[in-house]
Amino acid sequence: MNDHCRYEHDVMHAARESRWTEVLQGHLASCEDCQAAAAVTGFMENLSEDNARVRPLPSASAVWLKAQLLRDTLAAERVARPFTVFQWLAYFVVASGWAGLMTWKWDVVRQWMLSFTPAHVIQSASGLTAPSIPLAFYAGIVVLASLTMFLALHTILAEE
Amino acid sequence: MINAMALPGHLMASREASGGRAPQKPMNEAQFEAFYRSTAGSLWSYIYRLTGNAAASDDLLQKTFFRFLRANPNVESDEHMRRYLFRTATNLAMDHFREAKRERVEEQAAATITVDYPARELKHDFQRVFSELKPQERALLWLAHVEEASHDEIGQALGVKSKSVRVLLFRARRRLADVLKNHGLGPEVVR
Ligand SMILES: [Zn+2]
Repeated sequence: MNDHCRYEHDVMHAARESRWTEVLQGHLASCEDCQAAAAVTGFMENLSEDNARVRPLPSASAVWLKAQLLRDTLAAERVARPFTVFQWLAYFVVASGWAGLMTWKWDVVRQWMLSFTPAHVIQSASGLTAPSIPLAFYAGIVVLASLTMFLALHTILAEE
Repeated sequence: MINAMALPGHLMASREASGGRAPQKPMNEAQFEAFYRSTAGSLWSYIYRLTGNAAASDDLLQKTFFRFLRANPNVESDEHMRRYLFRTATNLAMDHFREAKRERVEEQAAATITVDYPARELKHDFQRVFSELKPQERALLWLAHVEEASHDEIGQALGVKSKSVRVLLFRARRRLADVLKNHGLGPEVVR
């Protein structure tokens, strides 16, 4: 079942300790895998004994704490994700609301904007009446303005 | 110093006490600290021999343990925990090479590694010699010779079939022997 030579570990130990039994030496003569293992064992031993670490390892408690913080951040992101979708939906609804309202009463809006030109200011002063605007339009403006303000504030606070 | 891929003593004891059954409790801080103390040193050495960079090794070591904790390991499956660590570290180290290559920070990142050598003289610069091998060859040799991992364990750590490990390990040993010969360092003659 095992695909590797069963003497491999014994050969590595023997090479490390320079202690060869006759059996192992006999095996080594006929096993390419073990010859290759024995040839590099000394170097690998030296490499593993050459302690490369010049500063202490990160402490276990610091790693534990960071892992907990990371986990909390990931959990918060998971919770925040559906809210982000909701946020985009809210932007879309408010923008559509404004577009709908403006289209519905575009004539009124245009006249209202034109009322700021000097000619209209004079007309108004001379007592000519402005076109009537339905109450629903004002109500729509108030609702959409509130929603827009709420969304803007939410976006700013969320970014902070 | 050779570290066998053995189980930490306290974990072995708890496993025996529970008769080998696996409770569902995740690891607590005290258990993590004990496990970290028993594994972090050898894991760091492994990562360092792959990357050749001490700062990157600190970083990858922590990332490995973050992933380990996020995976919510079962305290009783100790062998699994240690294998998981080495497999994760190997993946992260390979990602590190790919990233470095992509950013063109290092030339020939797949074949060589950046080495920030400790400020001391070495008779033979082992790491420099070792860095001439490919990352996978370094991982194979370290796991086989230093961690004394079985071919199954090596296969799992490197994401290759354990049947392929024999051939890969043989080639890696041959490659190292050639590199050693080029540096006038061997290979050793067995008496
Ligand atoms: Zn053999």
